[in-house]
Amino acid sequence: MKSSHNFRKASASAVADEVLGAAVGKTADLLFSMRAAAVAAYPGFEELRDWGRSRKMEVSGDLATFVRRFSDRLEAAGGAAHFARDAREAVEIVTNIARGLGAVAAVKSKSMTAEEISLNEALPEAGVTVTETDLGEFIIQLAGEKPSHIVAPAIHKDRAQVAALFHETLGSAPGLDVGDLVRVARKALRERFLAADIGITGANFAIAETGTIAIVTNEGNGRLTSALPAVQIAIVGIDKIIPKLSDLPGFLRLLTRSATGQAVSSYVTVITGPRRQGEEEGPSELHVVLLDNGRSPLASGPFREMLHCLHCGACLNSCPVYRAVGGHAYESVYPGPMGDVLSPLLWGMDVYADLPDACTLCGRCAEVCPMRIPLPEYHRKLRVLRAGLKGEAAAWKAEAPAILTQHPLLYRTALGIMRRVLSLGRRLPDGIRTGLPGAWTVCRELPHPREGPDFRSWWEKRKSCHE
Amino acid sequence: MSKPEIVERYIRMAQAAGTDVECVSGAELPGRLAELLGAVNKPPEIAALAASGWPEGLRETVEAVLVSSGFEVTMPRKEQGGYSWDRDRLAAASVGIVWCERYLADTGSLVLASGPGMGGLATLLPEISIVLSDAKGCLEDLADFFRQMEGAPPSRITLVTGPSRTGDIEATMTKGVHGPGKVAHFLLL
Amino acid sequence: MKISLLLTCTADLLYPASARACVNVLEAFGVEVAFPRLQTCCGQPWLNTGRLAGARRLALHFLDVFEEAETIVAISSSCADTVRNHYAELFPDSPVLRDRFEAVARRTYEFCEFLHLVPGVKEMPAHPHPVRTTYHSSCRTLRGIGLRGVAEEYLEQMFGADFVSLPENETCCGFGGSFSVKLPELSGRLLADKLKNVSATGALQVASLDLSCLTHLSTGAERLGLKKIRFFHLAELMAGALT
Ligand code: SF4
Repeated sequence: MKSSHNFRKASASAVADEVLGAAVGKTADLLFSMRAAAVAAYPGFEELRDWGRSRKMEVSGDLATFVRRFSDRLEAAGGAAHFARDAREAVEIVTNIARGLGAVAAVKSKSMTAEEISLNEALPEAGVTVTETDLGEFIIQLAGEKPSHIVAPAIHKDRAQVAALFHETLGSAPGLDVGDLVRVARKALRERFLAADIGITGANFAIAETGTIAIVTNEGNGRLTSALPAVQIAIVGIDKIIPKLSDLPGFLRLLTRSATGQAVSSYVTVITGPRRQGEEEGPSELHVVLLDNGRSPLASGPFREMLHCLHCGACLNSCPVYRAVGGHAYESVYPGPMGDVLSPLLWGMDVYADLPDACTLCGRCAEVCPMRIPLPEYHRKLRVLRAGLKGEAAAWKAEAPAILTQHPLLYRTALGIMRRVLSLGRRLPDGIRTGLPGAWTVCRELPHPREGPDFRSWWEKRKSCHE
Repeated sequence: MSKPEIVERYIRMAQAAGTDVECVSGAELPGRLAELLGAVNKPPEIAALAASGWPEGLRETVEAVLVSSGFEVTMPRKEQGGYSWDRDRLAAASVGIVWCERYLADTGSLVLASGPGMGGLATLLPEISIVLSDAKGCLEDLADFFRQMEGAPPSRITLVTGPSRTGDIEATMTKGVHGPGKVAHFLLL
Repeated sequence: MKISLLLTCTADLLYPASARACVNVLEAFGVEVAFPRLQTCCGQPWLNTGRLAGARRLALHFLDVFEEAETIVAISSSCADTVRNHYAELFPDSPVLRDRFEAVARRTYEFCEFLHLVPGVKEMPAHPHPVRTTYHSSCRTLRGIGLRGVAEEYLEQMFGADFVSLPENETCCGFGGSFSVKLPELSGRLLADKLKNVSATGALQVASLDLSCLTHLSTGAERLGLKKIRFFHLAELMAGALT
């Protein structure tokens, strides 16, 4: 894990990249407006959000019980449940299964949870090659990059870049259009599907009542990954649990409308255990790795509702910061508003101290979040937490100006001085103009007080005239 | 909603999702099926066909149309352990045909439940997926399906709504990325 | 009807004309305005950077100054939002203080919201100098105060066809308080995007209900050399229409 992340530096270089900005903006805008249309077309959506939140509250209020119930029911259905306290344990579980099988090739459908434990880096060491099968993830893998959006991982690339990449790595003709690029990927990936020993998936939902997992994709890669190889391993964060099978329809509505503005995705695969007696489809072994990795402690803390996140990406698409910089600047698996909150919580405030500031508190994310997670409030709370870590001296330094401001006479005096200084405008020496307020003048001039007397003098004068 | 209204809604929603829905009588089916198959790249091609789940006699009818249209047919074979596909032939199939017991008006989705010989993969690997159902299989929504489902869920339930698609390159919708680019649903009325 | 004006430190420092206009407009609609002199700053700079001790001090000072007021009208949205939506939660352990802050919150309005809801102003006269005008609906006005469409309607009455709405008007301008100086390159990018939209409307004046956004936008426009565009608090345009 990186020592400490500098978001100002990372974001400053991202905003300078015009291809990136245009590509991210285009897709994020499209997803944003498709979501808006889909939500508008569904009259009960606001009530559905309340319902979804209350169902997730039930789970986060008693997480350990729900995890146990899920794993019991999964085992009853013939699957194997594994618990992983952290990324290292999860990787170990997966590589042990792979070694035990003597597996050499795995296909993988998109899973941010697998990304979270860096599974792709670990499997080759166990002698298993992994192929990402989601088109976006496949592009990223070929490019040797990291996903930059939790739903649309290759959002930062435009079609010309993908065509060049396929030309270089897959030997396709140069300059292909989108349709042809998709055909090239289909052909390359089909072979890998048929040859794979293991299918690795995530899960969008894990249903406690029945030990069922549900996987949602548009491409069908989730379905292929879970249907063709003899063994399926699903990496599932324990936050993915919902109580009952009858809750699934409601959560699917919330997820797909928020993620891509679809009433439903092309494929929803609802899996309860491995293939049964006599069946010809599905794995003969189903392993579910239940990943904690810092989640359990959230349930009893002030950020509990982060456990309700559906990973729909709506907050990313709505976020002015994410839209301007894309995902890589966050240097985390989870970018955008949800990532600003999750990254410091899961990997430490020391590593991601800057991310709570990657937010203008504009409030748009909270407006679109299907689970009504109070994301802006959580950003504020993290800033409070961070301030608390800085110690007494820093706290005092921050409080001193508040004491001054609280005192009307001192406040007015200080304001008067500032007003006079600012009135000098361009006559101010450069050292003052760009020195102390240097960050302000990176993109702006110093403000100058508007013409006329200050309000207080005007008020007093006017009052004495009236009297 | 009355049944015909629900079916109408299904047709609207499924078509909006990109599924080609066509209502046919039992007598019209072979002709329409042959027409559709005739449009597929020059036979001999392979067609993957579900072995089980069909109403009495329908599988044989479909098989006959396939053969007369110049297709070789591959089906899950029954052995002592249960059914299994010939993987190579399944992978080479250009068309897959299955019976679909239930479908949902609310989203225009097909509901494919697993079971021996049900042939779900035939709706996934080939470029063209052909699905047959009757009017009584139409349900309002997924919740309706779960309510009607007795006991524990089958090992897999797949909802299919329109063709396989991706928007991963510049959010440009493109069909047929991993699964079929065309889904044709014949409703036997 | 009597209100107490929450001047806000931004107006105190930079926008006396906006504050004067607010007073004049309120009085024109028969509202009696009081100005509690001991007021200072609402404490947002501390609140938004997680320095709660400082934020609490200023919240308590606000309570001292304004608790007796019948109705409070704030000149800038973000300050109204702070009083309304954030003060009470600064005191989770004191139910008494919470109640007192919640009571004050219920009596606090943003300027335009107040005109619309309390005197119920329906109609603004046509402005004597119609100039192409657009409106920046700040995030706090939209999502903190929950005011949508009201300012736009007044502007339309004042400027008719010369009022043009801003493309992407619900997107943040990139000010964000401490954000503007902690991430200035990013803030500048959002600012440039916003100003590009402003330029696209051909507007010569931009109205808003948030003075912090106006400061950010006007000083940004100055840096980018957009000399023709002027920035006003909505009250200033109203005051112009009413005289
Ligand atoms: S925080 Fe909300 S909007 Fe963001 S990804 Fe999670 S569920 Fe979606």
